[in-house]
Amino acid sequence: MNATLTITILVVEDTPSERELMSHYLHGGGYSVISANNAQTGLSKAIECKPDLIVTDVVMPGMSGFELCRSLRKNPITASVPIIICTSKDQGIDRLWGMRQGANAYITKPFTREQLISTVQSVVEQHG
Amino acid sequence: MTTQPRPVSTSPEPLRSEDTLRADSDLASEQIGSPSDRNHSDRSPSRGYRNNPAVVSPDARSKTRSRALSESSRLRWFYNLPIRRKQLLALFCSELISVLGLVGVGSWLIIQGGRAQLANQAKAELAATDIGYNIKVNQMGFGFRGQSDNSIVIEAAKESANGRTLSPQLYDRLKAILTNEVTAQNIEYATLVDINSRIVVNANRNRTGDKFDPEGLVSTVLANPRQIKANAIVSLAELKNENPPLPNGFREKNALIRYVITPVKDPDNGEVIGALVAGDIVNDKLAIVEGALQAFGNGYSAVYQRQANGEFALSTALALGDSSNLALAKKGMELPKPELLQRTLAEGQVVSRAEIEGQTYTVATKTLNNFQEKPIAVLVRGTSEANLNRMLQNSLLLQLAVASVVITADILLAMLLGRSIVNPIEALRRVTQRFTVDRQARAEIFAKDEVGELTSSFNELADSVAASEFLLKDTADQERRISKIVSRIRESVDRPTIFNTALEETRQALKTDRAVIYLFDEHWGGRVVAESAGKEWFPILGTFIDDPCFAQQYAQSYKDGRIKAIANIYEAGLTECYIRQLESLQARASLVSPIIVADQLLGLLIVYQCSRPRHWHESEINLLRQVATQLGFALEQSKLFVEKEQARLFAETLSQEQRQQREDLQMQLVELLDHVEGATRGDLTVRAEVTAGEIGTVADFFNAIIENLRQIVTQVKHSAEQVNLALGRNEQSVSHLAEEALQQAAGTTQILTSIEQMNQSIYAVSESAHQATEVARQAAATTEAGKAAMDLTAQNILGLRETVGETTKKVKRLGESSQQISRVVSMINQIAVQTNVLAINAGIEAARAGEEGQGFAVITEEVRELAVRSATATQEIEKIVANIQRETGLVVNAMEQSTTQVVEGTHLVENAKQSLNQIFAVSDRIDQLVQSISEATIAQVETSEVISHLMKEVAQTSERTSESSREVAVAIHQTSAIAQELQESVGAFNLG
Repeated sequence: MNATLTITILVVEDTPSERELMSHYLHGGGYSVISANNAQTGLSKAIECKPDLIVTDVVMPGMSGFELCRSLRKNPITASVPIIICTSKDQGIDRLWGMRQGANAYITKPFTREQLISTVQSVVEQHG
Repeated sequence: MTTQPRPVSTSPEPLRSEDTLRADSDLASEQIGSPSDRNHSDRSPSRGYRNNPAVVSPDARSKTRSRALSESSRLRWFYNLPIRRKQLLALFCSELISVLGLVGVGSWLIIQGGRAQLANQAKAELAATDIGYNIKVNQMGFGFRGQSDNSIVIEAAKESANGRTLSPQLYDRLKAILTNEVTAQNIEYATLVDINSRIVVNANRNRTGDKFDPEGLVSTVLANPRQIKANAIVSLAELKNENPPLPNGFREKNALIRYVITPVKDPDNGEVIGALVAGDIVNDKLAIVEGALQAFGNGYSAVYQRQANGEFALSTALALGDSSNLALAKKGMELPKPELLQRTLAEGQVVSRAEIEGQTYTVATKTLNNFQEKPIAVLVRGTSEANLNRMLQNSLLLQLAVASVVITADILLAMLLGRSIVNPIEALRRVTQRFTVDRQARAEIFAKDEVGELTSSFNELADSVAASEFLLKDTADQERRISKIVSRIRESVDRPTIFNTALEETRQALKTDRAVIYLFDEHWGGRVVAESAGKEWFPILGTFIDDPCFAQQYAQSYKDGRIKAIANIYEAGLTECYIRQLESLQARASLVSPIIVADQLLGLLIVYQCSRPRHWHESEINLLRQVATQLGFALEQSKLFVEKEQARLFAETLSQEQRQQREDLQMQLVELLDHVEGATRGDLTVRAEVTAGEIGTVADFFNAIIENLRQIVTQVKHSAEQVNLALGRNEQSVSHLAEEALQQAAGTTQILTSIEQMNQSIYAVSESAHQATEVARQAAATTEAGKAAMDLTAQNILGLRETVGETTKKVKRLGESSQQISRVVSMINQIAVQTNVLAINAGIEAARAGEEGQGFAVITEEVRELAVRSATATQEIEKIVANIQRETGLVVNAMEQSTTQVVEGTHLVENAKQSLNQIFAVSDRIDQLVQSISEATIAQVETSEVISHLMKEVAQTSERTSESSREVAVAIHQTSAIAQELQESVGAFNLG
């Protein structure tokens, strides 16, 4: 538990209920959570706070989750931060595109606590 | 038991009457089999139409028809005639053939026979006429053979043969004999000729002494003594000369004559001493032709003679025609066909027909030959045909009478035949016609002949047709019923409706009490799913029937399409259980047909008779089978319809969804286009919204592209600015470079000019050196020539010195020789002195000796004198030699002096030569030097040219450098402009 406590996760999600649900699950999983209600803010916070993992929605007003991925990967500070896309877009092409834009994992909504936590864990393990 | 059903309408079995069929059905209560299984002949033997030959099998009929069709149209016309006409026509034809055969052919044969007879007769008569013609000749032969033995004739011949003239008495007597012969035999010539063919005596005008040898016949006889008879033509002139008594009516022309020449022999020695000539003219002598007419009592006789021109002229002719009265005979009638005579000439003998004076004759002709066997006349005999014609007329009349009797008899026969054959057939025809509208019409049997049999067969046929028609009508009714049911069934695709309609219609058609449809489940149990029953019978709809035996017993048989008919459930040998089951359904008789859909046994169509047992007719079985089949089809169709309907509904839903999706997609696309439209105007700040739909991801793809584009454009903008800046700097450097290059070019050009001048100087030097070389060469050559001359002089001087040396030696030797001479001369002088002393001594002696020594003293004197002279000569020689020696000494001195001079000359020449050699060496050296100068000059020129060339290249390079610099400057300028343009273009992008 001590190890997980040091891990900070940035949640970028425009829908408040979803944001809360995710934060709740991740808190429950023992992670420290910061959140942003749009991608632009998310990008700023990512550069500013250097989180260990970013979980982002795709469909958001203004900058999309995909663009956020690209922007994070372009920026040297955030280029190596693992990203999990968590979205309601469930087509194969969406998943493929998301991974191409630099995401490390792709979860479709609706998701369960276990799905979210296990995905976060596996991504964190992969990145040491 | 069930059997394979067989449709009645298509059965090859001949149609049977209804009661026969019913009899079959009685038997079929248990077993519905093929009617052909049954023996038929014992059932209806009385009809017997199977064995009746009058009924022609269809095969035979078709053969007859095809044969008839192949006949010609004329025969067809005959076949199409009514029988009565046919009979009359046949009768008429047979009559015609009989009459024509009997009368025509008979008459023709008689005429031909008669004609042949007549021809033979004519030939025979001609032979007889020929004999008649020759009788007279033979008579003449006999007569004159007799006369040749007559003593007067012999005597006259002898006289004549002996060259004597006849005595008048003998002449007169002979003349009388000959004249008598002429008169008696009615001939024209009777002449005695001698061995020289001269006339001794002749019968008519006195021609004694004339030559008479007609046609050489007399000479022939005199040469070869025998009697000869020959036909000949005698000229009118000869006739006039002889002037015999001619027949009455003689036409004056050349005449046909018959000669008989008889040799006259000397009875003592048998030698020929003359010849008797008899001649008989044929012309206009009727006796010749009259004989034949007399003998045969009719006809025509004639003799024609051949004229010089080849045509024939009538000699004599007589025509009696049919009459036997000779007094009525006509003279001089000619044949109307002269070509007949010409034909005779070619063929020897001809038989033909000819008409003379309106009377037809069969004419036979033959030729008469002269002595040379050449035809000169034609003998003609015509036999009258009048008798033959009369006979023919009689015969024809008789035949006509017989023919008319036969025809009458035939007509009577024809009428009888008509009554017995044609009338019954006609009656039968009328009945047949009536039968086409009235099936009850039957023909009356008139007799028991073939027509009677035909009538009987027709009646049987009519019965059969009526029965067949009834059956056909029945079948058609059933077909109509079936088709009505089928069409009713097919009106719907709804299963219950199909079932109810089928049952209703079937029950109605078969008039049964109950009709049900029973469908199987998978275990061959089943339920009644549809029913139609009379009101008096309780319903069994929905009844479940489970028959465990069904699968083994009947399933396969029903699958094969068998139909089961039970006429009476108690008499069908059914199991008790089955009977009870049927009883529970109130059935007394049943008829079951399978319903098969797609080779699957689906169920059964069953009709029950509840009121009574019932025999099921084949037509009823057939109807049920067809309804079941159609039911199967209808069910299949219904199933297909349902499936199709479902498929259609599914497809409709699907297409609705697809349409909705398409519309959604289009909406999203429109939205996307709306978002990214700015990019087309260079606004790279646009961003497509990433939505939840499919297009959302595509939109982000656009976003990624636009981001990249924005990045690229930013970079380009930056690069363009830098390029512009760099270009500004470069432009100056390049301009400077260009100017310097130009200056370099100018300098190089000046250098080039100097080198050019230097080059020219070198050229001049080279030229001078060349000339010097020439001069030095000439000097060298001259020196060489001088040197050669010097050498020659030196040699000459050396030669001279040697010559002088030798001459001196010789002169010295001459001096020595003269000293020797001087010694010899002193010796001689001593000798001469001694000799003189001796001579004085000798003289003294001699003076002692006295006179004997006188002679000696003289000689001694002379010797002394000689010695004195020798002494003198010797002195002289001594003087000469002394001179020589002095002279020689002078010469030697002179020689020695010249030798010294020569040696000096030699030295001088040698010196001169050495000087020349020096000159030569110097001039050669000069030449070499000049040569090297020239070579050096040439090398210099080449070098200067190379330098000049290099300088030019340098100049060109400089110019090019300058040019390039200028171009670079321009290019930099242009690039600058382009960079500026690029900057402006990139400026058009809005990068936010």
